[in-house]
This record gives sequence, C-alpha cells and structure tokens, in this order.
Amino acid sequence: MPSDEYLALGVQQGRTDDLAALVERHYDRLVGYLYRLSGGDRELAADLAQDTFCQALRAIRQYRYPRPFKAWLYAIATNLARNHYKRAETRRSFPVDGRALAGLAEDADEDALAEAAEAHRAAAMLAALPQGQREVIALRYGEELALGEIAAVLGIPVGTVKSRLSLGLRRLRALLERQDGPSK
Amino acid sequence: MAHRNDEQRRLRTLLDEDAASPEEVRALAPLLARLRREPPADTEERTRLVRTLAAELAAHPPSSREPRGAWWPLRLLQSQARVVQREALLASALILVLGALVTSLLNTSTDALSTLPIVLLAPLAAAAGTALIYNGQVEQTLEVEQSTPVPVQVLLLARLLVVFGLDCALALAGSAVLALVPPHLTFGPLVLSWLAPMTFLSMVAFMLSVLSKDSLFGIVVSMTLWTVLSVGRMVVADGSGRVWWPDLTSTAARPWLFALALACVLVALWSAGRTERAPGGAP
Repeated sequence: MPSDEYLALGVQQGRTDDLAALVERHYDRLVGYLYRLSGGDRELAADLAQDTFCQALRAIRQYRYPRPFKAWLYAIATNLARNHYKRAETRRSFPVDGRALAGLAEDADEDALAEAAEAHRAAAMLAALPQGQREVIALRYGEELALGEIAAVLGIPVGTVKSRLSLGLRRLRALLERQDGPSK
Repeated sequence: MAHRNDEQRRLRTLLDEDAASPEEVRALAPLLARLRREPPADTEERTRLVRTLAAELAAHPPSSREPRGAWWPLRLLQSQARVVQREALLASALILVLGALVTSLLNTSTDALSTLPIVLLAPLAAAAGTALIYNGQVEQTLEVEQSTPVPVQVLLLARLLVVFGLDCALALAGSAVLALVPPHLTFGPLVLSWLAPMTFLSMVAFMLSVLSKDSLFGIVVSMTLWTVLSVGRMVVADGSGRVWWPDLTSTAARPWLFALALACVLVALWSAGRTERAPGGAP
C-alpha cells in the first residue's frame, strides 16, 4: 500500500486516483477530529473537513517531501477550525443539542443512538477547554498521535504539548467532578 | 468487541503515560473512550468530495516538477536535527568544554597529545551522542518518517551526520581555543590526535546500538573499549614497556581507524535496511 507521502507526490503530478485514495484514507478520521474540536457539531465538522481537502489541494505544490502528509493535512484542518471560531466569534457557543445525531435518528437502533449521544456529550465537554488544550487532547486521544506528531501538527515544542496535555486532563477531570460530584 | 477492547487498551496506555496519577486515569478513561467514538460516516458525502476535488485537479493541475529539489538534502538534515536529543548534545558540549578547560590548565607539551583530557574525552562524548541516534524516544518521530518513501538508511545517515558533525564542530572549536591560549598546542596535530579515535569509536557505538537496537549497549561497550584501551595503555606505558598495547591515537593507527569506522557504518546501515524489510519489522 503506497504511503500518504507517495500519494501526495502523485497529486502534485496531477493523478486523481492518488487524490481519491488520500480522501478515502483520511476523510472520516478528519471529520472525527473536527467533530471533537467543534464540540460535537457533525455538520460543521464535515464542512471544515471538505474545506481542508480543498485547501490542501490548492496548496499541494507547497507540500514539502519528506514532511509527513498527515501532520500537514491536520495542521491545515486545525488552522481552518481556529479561523472559523475567530471569524464567527462562536468560540464558546458550541451546540449542545442532538444535531449530531440527526443523521442517525431515522434508521439507527437505540444502542447506536445512545452511543452517539454519549460521544456528543463528551465532545461538548471537551469544548469547554481552552483551544490549545482541546486540540492537543483531540489529537492525542482521538487520533492516537505521538507527542512528536502533535508537535508537528500544531507547530509547537513537545514540552508545550506535554504541558497542555497535563493541564487539559486536569481541567477535564475538574469538569467531570463538577458534573458528577467528586470521584471516590 | 475485540476491536473495542483493543482500542480501550491503547487509550489506557496513552493515559498511563500522560495522566498525573492512577486516579486521574480511572476518572478520565470512560470520558475519553466516549470521545474517541467517531461520528456517523457519510459515504455519499465523501464520494461527492472526491468528485469535486478530482474535477478541480483536472481543471487546474499542479505544474509537474521534480518534488525533490536542490535543497532536499538540506531539508532532510533540518528535519533530522529536530529529532536529535538536545540533552545529549548539551551533555557532549559540556564534556568537551570541560575537557578543553582542564587541558588548558595542564601545562602539557605537544609530545604528550594522546594523554590530553580533550583527546581522551572527545571520542567518549561523540560515541555517546551517536549511540543515542537509535534511542527509543527518538523512534516515535521515526514512526512518522517510516511512512515516507525515504529509506531508513538515508534517515539514519542524515541523523548521524547531524550528531557527529556537531560533536566534531565542538571539538574543533575546543582545539582552536587550546591553540590560542598557553601553552599553545599546535592545532593540526591536536585535531588529528582525536579525530581518528573519535570517528572510530562513534561509528562502533552507532553500529552496536543499531545491531542490538539498544543505545545503552552501544554506549557501554564503546566507553568500556575506549577506557580499557586508553587507561590500559597509560598503565602499561608506566611499567616495563614490554607488553604491547594498541595505541588508537598513534599516527599509524589513523588509516585503520577510518577504514574500520567506514565498515561499521556500512554494517549498521545494512542491518537497518534488513530490519526494515523484515515482515512487520520496523527498526
């Protein structure tokens, strides 16, 4: 199976099948990442993911081999998400209703519905964190990226990734305790 | 079910690494497990996107060009400099500065170059640095790069060049200072006295760490080898002189040391390439 970077080189040379392979490989995960960043807004996540691929295609000549393609793509997605909230001044106004569940509601069974509702609530809780901590936690636990990879996506030192991770986890725990009462 | 268990195990491993306490792990694991659940996938949405992007690519194809430009080697070195452990470089620098300082305080003549602290310490500092090229922490970043078409040998070679180059530059700077301050050692002979053993010992440490996949092994063996050879020779030299002991700092040994260093690099790169090709075997 060709690597992402090899496919990106193919896109630079105008190969549409390589482009399709990259979208197939990354689209769903990218929507998942942006869903977490957006506090559980599936529609917004899909819009941002599509914008990310459009922007990546427009900027594909700037992709520099041997930089890992995934880090490059996620860096574009993160910047688009940041810009969206800056522009719309909706940084804290994440949806708390079940809009994310709309796609599921018609044909999904109750278990799937409940699971989606839980995922949505977790994403909404993540949205209460400051942007930097939210990004690090979404990349670490949603995408399972190593600390070095997160540093590459966000363009920050590994030490900063660690401190944001530590602060974010502490804050999440405090939020959980406030919601459920302190854990025994 | 097995997939979900596997996911939970991986999440637990990450949390164990990052969380401040076991209580924090227990408190956050359920929330983060829920967070990992992907929103519903929309195949049609993805297909539409592929169609749109393909049309865009066909309408505006990026100009075909050689992706590896003239600056590619420099970019590769830059990318590898990022993953070199700064602590190791700082430790090497400290050792070399101390070596140069102590050497400047000793009133040594050029005749006794092989016993100068800088000549004894430079190979040790460089060997430790090159052995750490294959360190486990660095491998996290290697994982990223293993997915690129750059062969692992080229990556290791670039990293070796960065680490060894920096150690060489530091030792050269130390030698230049020693040539300027009393007792004014001669720069050329001083450099030659450490360069060959430093190259040899560094490449031995590098080879051993690649072969054993354990940087500590490379460090320990190379340091022991150097200590036995240099200290042993001093002990023998103080005695009757009838016992033969190899002198790695001698002029006659230099061509052999460079040749052996080259052989070590080739063996290490060959071994790294074999590991990469083995089924499921990333180095």
